[in-house]
Amino acid sequence: MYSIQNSEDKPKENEKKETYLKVENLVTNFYTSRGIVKALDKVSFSINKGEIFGLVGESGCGKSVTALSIMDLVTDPPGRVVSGKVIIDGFNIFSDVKDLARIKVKSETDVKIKKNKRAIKRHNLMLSKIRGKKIGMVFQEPSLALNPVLRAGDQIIENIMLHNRVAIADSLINRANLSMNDVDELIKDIQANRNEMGTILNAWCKKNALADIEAQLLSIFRNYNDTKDIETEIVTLIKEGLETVDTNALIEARNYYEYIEELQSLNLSRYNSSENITEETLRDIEGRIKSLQNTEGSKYRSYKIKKIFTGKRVEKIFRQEARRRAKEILTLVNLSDPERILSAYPHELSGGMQQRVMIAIALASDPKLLIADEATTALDVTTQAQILKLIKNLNQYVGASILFITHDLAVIAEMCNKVAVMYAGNIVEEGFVLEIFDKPKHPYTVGLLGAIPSPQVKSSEGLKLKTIKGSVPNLITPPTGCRFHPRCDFAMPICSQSKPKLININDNRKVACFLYSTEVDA
Amino acid sequence: MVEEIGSAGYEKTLPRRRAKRLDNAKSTFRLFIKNRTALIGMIITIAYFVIAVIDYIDPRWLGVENLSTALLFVPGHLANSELPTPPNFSGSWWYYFGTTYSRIPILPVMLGALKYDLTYTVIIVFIGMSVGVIIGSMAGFYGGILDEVVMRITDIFFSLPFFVFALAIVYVLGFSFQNVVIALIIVWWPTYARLTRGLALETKSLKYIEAAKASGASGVKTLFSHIIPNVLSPVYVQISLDLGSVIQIFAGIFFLIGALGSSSFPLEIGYLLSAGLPYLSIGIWWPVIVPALFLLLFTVSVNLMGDGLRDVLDPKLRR
Repeated sequence: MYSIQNSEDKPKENEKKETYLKVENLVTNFYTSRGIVKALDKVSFSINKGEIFGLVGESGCGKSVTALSIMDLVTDPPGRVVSGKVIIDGFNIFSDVKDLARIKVKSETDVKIKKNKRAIKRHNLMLSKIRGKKIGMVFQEPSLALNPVLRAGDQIIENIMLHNRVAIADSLINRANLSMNDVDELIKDIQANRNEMGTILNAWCKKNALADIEAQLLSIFRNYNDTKDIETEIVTLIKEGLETVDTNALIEARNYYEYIEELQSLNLSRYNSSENITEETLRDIEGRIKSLQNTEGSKYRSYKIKKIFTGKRVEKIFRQEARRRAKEILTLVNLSDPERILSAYPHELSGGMQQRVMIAIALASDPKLLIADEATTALDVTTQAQILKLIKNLNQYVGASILFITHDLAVIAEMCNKVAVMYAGNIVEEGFVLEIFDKPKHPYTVGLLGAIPSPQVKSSEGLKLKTIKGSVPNLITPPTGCRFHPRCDFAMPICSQSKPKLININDNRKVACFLYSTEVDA
Repeated sequence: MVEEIGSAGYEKTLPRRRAKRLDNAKSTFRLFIKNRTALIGMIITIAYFVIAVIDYIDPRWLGVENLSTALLFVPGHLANSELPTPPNFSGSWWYYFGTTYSRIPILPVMLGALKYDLTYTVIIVFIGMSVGVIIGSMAGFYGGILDEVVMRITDIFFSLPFFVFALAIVYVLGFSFQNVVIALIIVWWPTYARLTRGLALETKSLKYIEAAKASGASGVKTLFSHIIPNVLSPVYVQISLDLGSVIQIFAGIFFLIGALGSSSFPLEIGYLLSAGLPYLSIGIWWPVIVPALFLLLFTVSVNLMGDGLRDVLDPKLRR
């Protein structure tokens, strides 16, 4: 259906890609009554903008914990991110990880955790501005991850309303301000050269922030010939739901939400202050917050009161607009009857549809990184292929980076640009997909790739399916040194004594194994 | 590949949403009337409420307009010359169920009294429910000290018998409709708090709550738009069961107030019942039994309806 990525995936020399997500030395532990489960042991990797990054490994090796740790959604208790950095778009969400809780380890089974309630509250408030907005997440079992008592549409709309109010207000205002001249010009333009209808419409819609009705406009131009008809249709489409709205109220609401957003982003940067920011910039940020509150705040204090009385009307218009957007997103994820899906309960949808709705919810707030945690594991093979294709298309169309977590090597081969192989809470190898599949370096990767069943095994006599001997270690008492050494064919004396460091062996290839370097991870 | 996106079968939108919702309601109703006992319960319950509403609009439609002044009476005084008359089906419908103290006809008075019982019962249950659901789901969702405190308070409430506790509060506050309502709300919210707390605890650990958090919903948002809607369907059933028990306790308190000899209340069913109490010893049963049966019928039919609702309301149960 689609081929393994080829050479064009390698970044060109002159084009330097920007890092969107950077994970550094992430440590996540689970404090259970049987001991401390060291689920993640200094995991580091980074994802560039627009990249599909795969994370692969046996079950129980910490793939999902990595995803949850990035969102700080590890169930607490017993889980807890202990140290490390997760830098999303230049913002370290764990800059205050040391303040959140004081952990006293007396012995493996006797751990006292003293939480700092105030810091946790602040931390969660900050995270709720990051989750969804900068990172979206698609879960493994769509039937469990959708709220059964809310309609699919409401769940998408909720997410749009949560993060995109300014954008919604903008497009509403633009639509309200559209003059007849603009429409006439568009019609003239299109009738002059019908062949380029799509591109003209696209540009026009972009200019006027009307991207959500582009498809409708296109169908109008296709179905009608008479200029008058087209005009009336377009005007009704644009004015739909706008008759009742007071533009001034909308502008006021927009300014208010913009103020709130600005304040939030300033607060976020202040929050991140423990992250090597100098006193000066900190003071600068605080000054800006104060001046913003002084100049704008008083203006909006009265607006808040006014909002109680006029809010309902504006809110309704906002919801309508959010609904349009939800429809647009549903068509984006290839659901053909968005109107029906919007008013359907999750149990009325099939598994594939549910997963698409799930993706739509994640996309609703326009995140730049999508975490797909075993997003296709619960689906049957044909649906899986469709969803994979969809995710790949979204990566190109929306330009979102994707962290793709799976245990299926074939899926990784089809989907990803880069891949990291995890074993027992460590990343053991990282690099471009083709290179890793071509020449695996780490013994674990070699074993993993060798264990893929193939028809030849059955046909040619004497050949058996290769497996990696032994099983995944118990992470309460992981093996000393390299965690893979008890199962490794190439184990050396040093392997059981010290832990190998993840080192670059060439430009984009990293391996943690003493076969390639003697560097020790402290 | 890129072109495939965004143009996937756009259809002209139709006003289908409303039709669909109507369709949903229809199928819900169809499912409900399959359960005959529940249907009967609902019809009787609705009849009670219709009577109350008519009484509010214009009592003359029930033929009880002349009673309004006669109803302010002091029960408990035996007057030999004016013993209640037994049920009489030959004359006016006023006397079908006989008369009570001072020869007041029971049936029209009962119909007139219904509006007080139903109104205050509904007020008690809904305020108690709102308070209980919010407190209970907050306790379950946030956990920690809040949970402990709320649950210990409900333990205290549950350790006292509802009726006695409510009566004690009424005694402290003074006898009036308003105070009885306040007392019963105070007594009633812990039932809902405990119910929703358990459900919220269960819901909290589900995947879609995690998904909501992952999309950036704050705690309050998660609580109100994900947890509470999910715990509501057992609460609906509890409401319908409680309408039956609250009306009994409400009438019971007024029965006691009447028996104590308090005066000047608008007639309420429990109060009406207490008026016939002194005659029970000399074999005149209808002034007590008839209003009691009237209450019983309401309780039973509301419970039957609640059972039927439980099967229908839960979107997870129906396919």
